[in-house]
Amino acid sequence: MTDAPVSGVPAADDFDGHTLEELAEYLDRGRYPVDPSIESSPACRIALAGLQRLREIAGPLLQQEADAAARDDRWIDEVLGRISLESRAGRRFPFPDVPVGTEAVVTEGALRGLVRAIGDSIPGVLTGRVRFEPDESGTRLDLAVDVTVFYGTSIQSASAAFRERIALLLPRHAPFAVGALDLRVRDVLERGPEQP
Amino acid sequence: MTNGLASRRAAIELDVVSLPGVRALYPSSPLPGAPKVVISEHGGAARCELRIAVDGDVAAEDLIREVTVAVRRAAGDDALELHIELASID
Repeated sequence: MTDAPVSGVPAADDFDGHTLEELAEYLDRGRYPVDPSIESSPACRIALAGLQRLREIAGPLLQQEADAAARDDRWIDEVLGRISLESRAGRRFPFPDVPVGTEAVVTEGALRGLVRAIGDSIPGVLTGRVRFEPDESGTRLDLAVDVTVFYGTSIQSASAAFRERIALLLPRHAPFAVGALDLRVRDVLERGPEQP
Repeated sequence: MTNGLASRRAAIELDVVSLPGVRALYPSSPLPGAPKVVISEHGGAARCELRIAVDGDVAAEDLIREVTVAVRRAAGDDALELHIELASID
């Protein structure tokens, strides 16, 4: 796995021929009219889910930053860059316990999307870079996840919730138990959205 | 492709997308017009390939078993070899 740069505009073919900007506009239109070339692409659907959550979590903050004269959108660029890079299918991980005559795999992109969704489901947390690697036994997945937290969020509580949810949900969708989980808080944002 | 294969492919598509926990059946490639179900036959043995989006609430291995049963039933072939790719988890 490579550590690619996180900023910059994705190439036009990053999402089966669609750009992140096109996907954002499609989301603005409420995914209507339905575009089959977007809806039939796993990469597009993973990216759309990430964009949707970004808007739900950080919508008020995005607006504040858009209105600000001196805009610091480094964290937004980083999250968008990650969504762009990590929506691709990547490696395929086989499930060992399947019916005779069946081969089944889950893509790296699907698992990244799942990890990102789990992280984003924790109040006050926005998931950044997601990396993982099976351990030597091939039965456990070691993860390294960068997150941004909003000011006022208890990092200890958020970390504990992240670990608990990952340990519960990842093995339901992957042929791995959770091994090491290295969670790094990369940013604390001063102005967070209203929390429920 | 023979009519037999085409009708089997259509039946598989219909049954798979009807399964609870399957959100979408993806084309086999991003190229326009790519089939959603690929069936190939070699030496009398048939093989079927699927890429699907799955529901995050359903355990993957349970879903794989259900998809296997549904595909073989729709194809009318209990010996059909299957390759299933979970391409996104919604």
